[in-house]
Amino acid sequence: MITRHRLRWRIQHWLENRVPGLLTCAEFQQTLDDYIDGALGRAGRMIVDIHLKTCPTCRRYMSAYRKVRDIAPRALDTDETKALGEIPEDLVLAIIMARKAQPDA
Amino acid sequence: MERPDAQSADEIDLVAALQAGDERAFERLVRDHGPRLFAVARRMTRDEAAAQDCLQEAFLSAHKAIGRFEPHGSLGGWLHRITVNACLMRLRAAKRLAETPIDDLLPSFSAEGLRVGEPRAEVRDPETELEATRLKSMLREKIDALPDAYRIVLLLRDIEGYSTREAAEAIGIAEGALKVRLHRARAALKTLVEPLWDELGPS
Ligand SMILES: [Zn+2]
Repeated sequence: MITRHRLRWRIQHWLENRVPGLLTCAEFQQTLDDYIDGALGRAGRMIVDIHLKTCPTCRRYMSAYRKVRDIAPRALDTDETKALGEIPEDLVLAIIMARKAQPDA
Repeated sequence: MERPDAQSADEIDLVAALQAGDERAFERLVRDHGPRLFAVARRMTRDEAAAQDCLQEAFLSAHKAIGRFEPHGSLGGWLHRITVNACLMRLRAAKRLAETPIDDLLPSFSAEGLRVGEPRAEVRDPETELEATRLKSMLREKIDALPDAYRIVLLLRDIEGYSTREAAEAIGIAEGALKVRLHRARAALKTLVEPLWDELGPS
């Protein structure tokens, strides 16, 4: 069983020795959306997968980030924000008057 | 999304009448498309008076530009873009589109690039309809709390149906910059939402 501490130590060790192709958490963060969108190539995806396998903190981060990312559109797309069918009659009339004051198209 | 694409025969007639300068056709345009576009202006400006001004500006721009409207395009989609642009213009004039620092809402890393200061608990999926509804309204509240530069990017990409390129062009920044801003908006949202997430549960 790898403890959190040991894993952290190991990652730090890898980073200090500049293991080729190994991402830091900060670099992982920059690829996150492209990774979720499937916009990375095969090699890129593999490098991110390795980071995710070895870094529980980023795995957890991604899981929460992804949930927020997925729910945001649904949170914004409600009847309340759409307010369908509601437009003040004053506004309709004001727009029509403003159009009359304009030269024709 | 907000872009109906097919153009009906009815719409072709309406466009022809608009192009001929028919006043009744213009009124019909306002009555048919106004409510939907007003909702767009309200969620973009978050200000009733500003939304009204933007909607009026949008319809006047449409009136001026109807001669150049391509008959094979969608009238609804065309009006939607004009409205979004009118709102963006107003936000820009009020300096509300400039990126403000939100570093305290972004993830932190050590000098070696290791992630630090992350909560340990896993966020749960909502288990009931009520929980899901609460989560969505809490999220909406937090989106509204984001600085406009970030909030607008989320809106354009997630609600208004803009592609990365279209959103970047509309705001007037490079595509790469837009992607970074969108990512920061989502990361900030996660930071704001996460501490409250567990309170939504059935307890
Ligand atoms: Zn990591």
